[in-house]
Amino acid sequence: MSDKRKSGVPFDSEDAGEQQLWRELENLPQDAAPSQRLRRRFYDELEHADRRMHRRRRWLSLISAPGLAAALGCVVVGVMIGLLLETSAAPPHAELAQLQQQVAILNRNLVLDRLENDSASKRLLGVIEASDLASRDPVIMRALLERAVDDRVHSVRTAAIDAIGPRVGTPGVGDELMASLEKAESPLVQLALADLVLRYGNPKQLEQLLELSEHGRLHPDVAQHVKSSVSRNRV
Amino acid sequence: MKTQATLGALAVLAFGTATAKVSDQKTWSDTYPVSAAVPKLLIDNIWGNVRVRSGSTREIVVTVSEKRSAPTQELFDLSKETIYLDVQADAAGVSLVVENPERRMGRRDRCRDCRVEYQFEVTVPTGTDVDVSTVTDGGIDVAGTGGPVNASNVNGPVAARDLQDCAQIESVNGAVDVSFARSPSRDCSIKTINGDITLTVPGSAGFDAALSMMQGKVVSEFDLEPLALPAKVEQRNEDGRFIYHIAQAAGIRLGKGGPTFSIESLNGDLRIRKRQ
Amino acid sequence: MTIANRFITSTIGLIAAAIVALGATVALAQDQPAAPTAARQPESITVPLSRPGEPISMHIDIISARIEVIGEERKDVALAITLGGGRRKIVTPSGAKTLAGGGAGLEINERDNRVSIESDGPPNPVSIVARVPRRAKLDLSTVNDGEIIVRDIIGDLQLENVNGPITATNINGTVIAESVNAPVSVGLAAVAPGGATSVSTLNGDITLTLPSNVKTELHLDSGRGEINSDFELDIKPAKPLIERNEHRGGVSVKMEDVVVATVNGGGPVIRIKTFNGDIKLSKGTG
Repeated sequence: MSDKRKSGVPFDSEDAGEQQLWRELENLPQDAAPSQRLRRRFYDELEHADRRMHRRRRWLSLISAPGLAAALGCVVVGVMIGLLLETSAAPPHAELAQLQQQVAILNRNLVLDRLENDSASKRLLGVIEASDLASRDPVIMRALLERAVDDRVHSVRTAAIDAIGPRVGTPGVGDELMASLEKAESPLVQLALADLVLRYGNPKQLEQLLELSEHGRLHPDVAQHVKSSVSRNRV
Repeated sequence: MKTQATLGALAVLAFGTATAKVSDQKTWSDTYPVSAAVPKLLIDNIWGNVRVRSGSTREIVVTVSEKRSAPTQELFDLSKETIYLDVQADAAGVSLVVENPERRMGRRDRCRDCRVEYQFEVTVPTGTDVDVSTVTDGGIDVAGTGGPVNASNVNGPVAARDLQDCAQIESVNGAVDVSFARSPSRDCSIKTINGDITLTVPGSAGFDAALSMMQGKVVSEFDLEPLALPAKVEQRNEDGRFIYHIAQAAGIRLGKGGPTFSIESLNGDLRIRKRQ
Repeated sequence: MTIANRFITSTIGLIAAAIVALGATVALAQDQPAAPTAARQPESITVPLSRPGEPISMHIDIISARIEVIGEERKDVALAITLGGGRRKIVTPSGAKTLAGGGAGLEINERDNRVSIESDGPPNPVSIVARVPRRAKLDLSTVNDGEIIVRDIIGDLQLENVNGPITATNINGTVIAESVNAPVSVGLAAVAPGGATSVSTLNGDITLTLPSNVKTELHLDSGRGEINSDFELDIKPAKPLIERNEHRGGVSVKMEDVVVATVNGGGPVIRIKTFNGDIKLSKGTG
């Protein structure tokens, strides 16, 4: 391709039209200045434009009457829109409560599922999570009690026993647990039940525990622990 | 307790006579010439005895006594289809198999309370390979046949006497009595679950034994040496499962040793006796 | 040879013969000792898996067993099994003899990547060393004359040894370990949510080794024992001492309560309980 660069053309271009433009620009007079008439027309236009803008500015400004009117008009429109939006939506605290309830149901189902899981590790996790929920939720309390009385893995059973805590005083709960203490064979389970009663049991349960330990019905270490943790008050 | 047992027995008797309303018995004998060097006898019985002795050369003589019974004539006729004796015989040997296809295939038995007892009396040429079994209401009695013996029973005793060699002798609930005419020269397996085992061998015999006697007593009229045995691993494949069994038997050596006897029992005693 | 020499030689010979004869008599007079049980060679069994390359689960429940499980890069299970002798008494004309062996055997089963090992008779001590794929769920249980040792596993473990120790090292998963009369030592490579770990014994020390940056919440119940920790424990405001007073002829209770301690801000729960023993929390690679 031959070099088509001419002096003055700032860059090489293949477009014929563009090249023509550049040539024409080159041929313009170098010292051109606007004519008088052009100058006069320019300043006239400027003044007109200014006046137009000034007129518009008056609407925006708060000082002038039209501006104030415009501003007030905006406020009224804004308030009306706000009222409209508020009445069409539910009050925010009710919505939040609904969401919270749904999360609570999901969580509770998850915990109940875990308490029935085949994996001992998952059941153990379920027991730990159920501990907080059991006071408010009788279904979870029931499921937790079943683990405390029935789970085939000692560690899950003892964790459930520990999780019942102060609720050992609840009617029904305490009776089932005391009955399972009479039958418990594993020293780990016996110890967990003994500790539960020692920490949170009512006087009747404490008496029952003492009787079991005094009559050799408990593993010797557990019986010793009960005896050394308890002292009879003088009447 | 006694009154209960008597009442129970009466009930069973009553029930037994009540259910066996139609019955028939017949006996027949057959002689089968055999020309193989080591003829084979196979008997697979369900109810009844099997008795085998050695007899004339080149012939297997079978005497069968069949007693068929069923609660009704209809079932009696049906039983002819569902329980029958299948006899196969050729120059190599004789096979007598009591077929009960309904039960063996695990289908619901259409012919309930049907019962066909077979009593087998057989004589075989000396050296015959004997393989006999029964299940209930009968015993196995094999003596002096001169060849290898496989004998098995479930609810009755097994007596395998005057053997040259045994192969496998077993019973689930019956006593097992094994005796050798000469010093054994082949490996043998003797097993019971609940039956006592008596093993009688000549005084000069020598063999090793691997004992897996769980609960019973072991008494020997021979002096013996303890023998350190390696653990044995058996493998089998059961519907898609690999099953391995590893066990270590207690080893003994009688005399100078010889073939290995594998003797197993869960609840039975073992007595090793000297043949007089 | 002079007569004197001959005399000496023959005397020495006689004495030697007498010694040999005496030795033989002594040997024969003794009852036959039991066949040696020491240093029995283990039997090797390789169990192929239904789905090689996938995780396995293993279940061993044997009354007297030393069970060792090692996780490795492999696609099958290699077992080395030693059967401890049964003791079989046999009456002979020269007296009762005791034989080794003849005890219960083991049955080993594989189905669908689940391997199980059970005894098929009265208890006899056995030793099992199992090399398994690293991804494994283990359920191992023994009672007497046993020990449980597990290492290098990614998976959940359930370990029970009533009268013997449990040691688990470099476990990436949850561990539920229980003993009654022996120490338990568990080393976790990581603590992940989705499950919980529990280590307990009645009469024994418990050692728990965790990575130094672990985030966990520990529930520690050491009965009368001490709690020693390499970690900084942030103990939740719970009264560690329980004191109760029932009035008028009732009873008073005074005992330790469970210590709830968070490490590095808290995380999944680990329960540790012993009665006659100390609890040690160690920093380590697990």
